[in-house]
Amino acid sequence: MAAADSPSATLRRRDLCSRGIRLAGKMRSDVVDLLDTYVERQGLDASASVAAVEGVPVAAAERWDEQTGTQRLLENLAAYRAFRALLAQMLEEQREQLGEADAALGRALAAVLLQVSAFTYHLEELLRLESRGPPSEEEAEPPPSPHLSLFERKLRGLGVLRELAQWAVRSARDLRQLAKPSPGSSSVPSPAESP
Amino acid sequence: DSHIQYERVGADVTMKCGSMDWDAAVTWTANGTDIDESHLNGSYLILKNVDLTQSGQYSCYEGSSWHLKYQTYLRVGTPPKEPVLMCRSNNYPKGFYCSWHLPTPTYIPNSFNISVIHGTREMVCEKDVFPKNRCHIRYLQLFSTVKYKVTLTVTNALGKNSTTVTFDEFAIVKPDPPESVVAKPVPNNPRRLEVSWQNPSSWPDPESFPLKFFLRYRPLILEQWQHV
Repeated sequence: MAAADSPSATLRRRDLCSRGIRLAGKMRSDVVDLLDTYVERQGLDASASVAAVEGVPVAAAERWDEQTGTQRLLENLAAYRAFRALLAQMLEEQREQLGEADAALGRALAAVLLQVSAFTYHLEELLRLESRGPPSEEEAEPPPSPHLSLFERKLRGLGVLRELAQWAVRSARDLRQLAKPSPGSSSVPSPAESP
Repeated sequence: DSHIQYERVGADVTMKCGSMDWDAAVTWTANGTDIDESHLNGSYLILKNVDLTQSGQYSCYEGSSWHLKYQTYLRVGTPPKEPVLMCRSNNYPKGFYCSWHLPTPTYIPNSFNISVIHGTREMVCEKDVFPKNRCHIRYLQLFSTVKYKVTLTVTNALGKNSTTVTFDEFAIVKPDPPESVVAKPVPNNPRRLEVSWQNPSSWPDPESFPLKFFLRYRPLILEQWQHV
């Protein structure tokens, strides 16, 4: 863990964390706005209950406070990589479905997608500092899209955005945990613990 | 032998003197005071349109022997109205509490039963010893999009009623007020004040879940507030 302990690594981690926290905050705010736009343009009911959809990373975590720093980063990374693919798919579907008729929604989706990509990069960098390195991404294939009707796709999109909004809150908290000074805490696994 | 009898306000109550026949000669007392015969129908005591003041101990004595034949404690009250329920997390992310009360008293003992459901999971709400109308739940999951559904049922001898509230995890977060708020004058600067405060002690992790504070102030002679 020499790399993780060096002063420059600590500084870099703290820097990445504070930028990440700001980015997560902005992401959350933009996703909440996007949710309003999405619900309106897609003709949905804002209070509609959406069952957990396959392939959408669920933000809910049990024993969240007991997670190690590496666990947090890995779970976040897996989630945002999935969101990146899901949002790209939504963007594509939205263009097909509404075409130029709704440039505003398309732009808002694209902006959030950009932030998700940026956040993913932050997570990958933080994992590199953990001297573990980010896991390689599987071939960038779009997630398997079962044959969904237009309405089902709209609901799925709602589910994606809602979970992303929750994830953004969670990620800010995860990064704050990570940024805490580590001696004795469980935020950086000791060599004996790491797999 | 003695027992308790619960009746609604406004009800008509008939009390029998135990196993005595209808035509037996008896005397009824209410809290030790003899009851006038006009309230009797044979050996039955008839109380019409009872009110709260008629709660008390009713006893029936056999006419000649003055043996106590029957005793009951009458409690006049009402079935419960819909209870008022609220839930709040002042110690996020540890858990939340729910507290309740009845909008109007029933004047008789009530029991409360609360159920907390998160998705398919039923959660345990640990009742506080004091106050009695409050219980605590520990969060088992954080950052969940699944709503919580809390149902409170209040039951007494005359009826029951219930209410349900549904909410998101974040919607009920409300920290306690800041503590140790102190305003000190600044030496050599009468136009300035130094205000200091602490995070509420109930907030478990201000580093991971920082709180934002807003300050407003005004000199006593002015009506308008200023904001920092």
